Amino acid sequence: MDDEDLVSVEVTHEPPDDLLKALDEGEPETAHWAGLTATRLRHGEASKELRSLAAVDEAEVKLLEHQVDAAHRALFDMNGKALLADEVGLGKTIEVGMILKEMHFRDTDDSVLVLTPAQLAKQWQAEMGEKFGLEFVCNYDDEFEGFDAHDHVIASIDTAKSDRHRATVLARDWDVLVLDEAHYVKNEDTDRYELIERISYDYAFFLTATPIQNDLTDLYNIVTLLRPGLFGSREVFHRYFIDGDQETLVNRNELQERLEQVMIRNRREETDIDFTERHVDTRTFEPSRAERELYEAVSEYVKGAYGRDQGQKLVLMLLQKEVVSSPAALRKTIEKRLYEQGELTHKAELESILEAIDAIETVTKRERLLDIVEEARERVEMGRVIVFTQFRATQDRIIERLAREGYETHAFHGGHSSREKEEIVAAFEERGGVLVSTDAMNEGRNLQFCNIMVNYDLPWNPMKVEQRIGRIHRIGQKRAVYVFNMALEDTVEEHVLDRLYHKIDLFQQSVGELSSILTRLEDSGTSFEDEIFERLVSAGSEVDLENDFDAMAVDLREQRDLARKVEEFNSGVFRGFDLGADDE
Amino acid sequence: MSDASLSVTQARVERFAERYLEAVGCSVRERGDELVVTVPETARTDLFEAGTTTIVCAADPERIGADLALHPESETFRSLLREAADRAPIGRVELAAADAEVRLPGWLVESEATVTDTEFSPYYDRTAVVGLFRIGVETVSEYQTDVLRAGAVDADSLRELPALADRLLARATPDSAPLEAAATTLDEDAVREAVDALGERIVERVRPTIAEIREGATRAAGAELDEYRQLQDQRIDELEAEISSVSDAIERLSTAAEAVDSQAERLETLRERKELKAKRAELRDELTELTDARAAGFPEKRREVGDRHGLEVAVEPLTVTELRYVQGELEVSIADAADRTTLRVGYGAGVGVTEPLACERCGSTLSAANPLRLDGETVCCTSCR
Repeated sequence: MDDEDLVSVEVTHEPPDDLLKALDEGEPETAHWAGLTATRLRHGEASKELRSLAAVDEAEVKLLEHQVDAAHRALFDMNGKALLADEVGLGKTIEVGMILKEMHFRDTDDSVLVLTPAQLAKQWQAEMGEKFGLEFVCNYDDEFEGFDAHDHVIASIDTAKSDRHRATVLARDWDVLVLDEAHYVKNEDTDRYELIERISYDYAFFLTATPIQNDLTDLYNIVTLLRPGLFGSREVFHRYFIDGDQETLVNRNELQERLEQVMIRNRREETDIDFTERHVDTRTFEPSRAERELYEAVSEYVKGAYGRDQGQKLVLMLLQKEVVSSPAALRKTIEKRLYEQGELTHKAELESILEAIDAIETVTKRERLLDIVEEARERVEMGRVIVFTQFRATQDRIIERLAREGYETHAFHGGHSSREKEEIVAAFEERGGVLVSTDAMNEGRNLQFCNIMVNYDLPWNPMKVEQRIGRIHRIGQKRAVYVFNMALEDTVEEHVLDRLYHKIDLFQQSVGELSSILTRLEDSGTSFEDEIFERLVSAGSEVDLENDFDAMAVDLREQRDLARKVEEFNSGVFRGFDLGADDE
Repeated sequence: MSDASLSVTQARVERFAERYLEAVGCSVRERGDELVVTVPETARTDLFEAGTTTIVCAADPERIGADLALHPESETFRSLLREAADRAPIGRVELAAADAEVRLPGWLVESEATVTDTEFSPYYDRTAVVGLFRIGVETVSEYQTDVLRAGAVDADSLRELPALADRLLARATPDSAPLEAAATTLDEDAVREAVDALGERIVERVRPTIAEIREGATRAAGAELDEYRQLQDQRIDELEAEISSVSDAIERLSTAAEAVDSQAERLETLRERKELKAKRAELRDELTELTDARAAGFPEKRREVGDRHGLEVAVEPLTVTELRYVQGELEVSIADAADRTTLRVGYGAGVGVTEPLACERCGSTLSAANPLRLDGETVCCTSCR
């Protein structure tokens, strides 16, 4: 290339006019010393400490050395434009949390936009809030009024690029842009890529464990978004770094040298992260006759109602979830529909469901839960068990039942204030017993003092299952972890969720792996819950249903295998590259 | 000419604040993590009202509460720096002759011969100018680079005196006692001349940094130009295809014109053909223009991209300090295992040896890399052994 003389250098010497004005000013004796010293300090970089670290609540988040190093390097060595490419499960979100906290501390975060895959937006919002005290509005919140109405926004990237919002996203100058799962913008011909390319920002942090999905061009594209020109033109990059015939890397040292300016990649083997064993035990129970009748009545109703009116999907999905959680949870929704919303079309059906609820004398799951907590009382320290349920009504009944048996109980739900939540967790740690919690127990809570958890009901979103497990099976857990899933035979929980989750190895995934699978799924335009519901209501027979879910499991397994392959491929490419924390 | 900036730490922030505030007539008392500043009516600062002000030396918002905070990013610290830096950017200081210690040049320090004695004879006073300069390098594709550099020259000869800049910097820190200063005796012309000379030399010293940034900017500009070239290649292909299709159409119309019987139809066909020919001519013009531009390497685009990515280096003098030093001669007695000799070199107090020394045998200039060697009483260099 003959581009060497392309860029000119123009040197301008400012005349010393301002200085000369001071020639005649009679200043006191030490003023010049102060002037010299102040000038030197003004040009000194502000101290490169993470000054906000002290303000991070250790109870909410345990910061690891490689995370602190990554945040430090991204901020100070890379001037606030970095690709955080740690291997899966090393806490890239925590690194960004620290970075944003530090920027908040230094007052350089007037406007922050975090773009994530849709399924992760709320989780990001919760983590930033609970672990770092950073408040964001999410595009799924009721109070979200558009990208020009809030200064700290977490949004799905697809919402941001939609016709409705695109113009407002692009119209602002953002201080900070965070892009999660950045490999989804690897393709320069997509709307997502174009959006990121056109967003105006001062600082940017991109996250991905797998910057390379297909070939090295992906890396070129992502890095070029962050640091235009670092790799030169696409052709030069190809010619210089890729062996054309072999599609392998050449000039590795030069590539590493340039990547080091913008990319940080910590490897699991180099960190001190070590997870203990995890045992999963699914206990299925035969429902009573009355329970079976109720389940069938509800399933029938849901199927029929959905067939007639698909607009009711959410509430029908809710009923299907509640019926396996507890009759009490179901009763609440049915009564609301009958008495508050004046449901008339299906009045008779709903009333018969209420009758079926009344017919239940013993709630099987609730009784059998006693076996698990009793076992825990005998075997583990202070009998600590966490029981998760999706519904408050179920939670109330479990608490009542356990209290009646003389167990120490603690209830945790979203209605408590932050202070109350802290007190509840502290009491659980101190006094032991059973903590019955809804999914309002966010990831930030430090519960590794407990090693037994029960999924009293199973969420239809595998991310939520992973989050539940993640609350006890996390860095700092010293004992093996026991996860019990409770399900009634031949219900959606037993033959759909539990089996499906086992088939995709959900209960044994390494932390973080799931999000890459789910975002792959989402990228193909599918929502997990919808998939389940649609299959459930449209299956003609039990056999159909089973086959349907087998097919879904195969799809998911394929996604997982793909995700793993990509991860392995990236490890291979970056092997021998030193892109992690300094050893100093 | 190393980096003259000082890294900002909490300790330096506090010490600077104390010293500066005392220098402008306030009294400062430490109380735990607080500074209690008493500001008299006569204080020469606009930052605080007369009276007593408490400043909390912490960054934790809970600890600070409604008080004034002092930490590297605090507004208080920034205001202090602003006021101090604007106040007396030009001045004269006396550096005490604390450096009675002789500064030996590299060619002696690295020599196998030993210095047995030195004697400095002062001849006359000279004036030096030390300047602090901000060098900003800006380009669209790279981060802005801002550095602070110091340099020193003799006010008359404009010879560089790097050691003097280092001496001044060693005293211009929050950790050192404030230097006594007075108004400069330099006139406007002397300041301009010294600033010009210093600016040039400082730019020379930062050339490697500039070259590195230019390399990055060139890569980015190259990428942009490459993309443009590809687009134009595409356009050329499109034009060729279009011309070919228009030519085919013209061909068809010519044949049709011959075949029609009606005069009116024939005229209409010929009119259409004429239009197409005009269009083809236009396309051909565009194609020629593009292929010519491609052959010439798209000079206009090249200029435009190059200009946009061009580096703008701004050199701005921020402070000027007049320093006195004594010029004289240094007598150095040297010995090795077999020989000994004495030599005399120009020397400035606090400045070091001020003139180069040549090998008496080969004429090479002595340096740390090519140090002195004795051959009898002859002063030689190591490389002509």
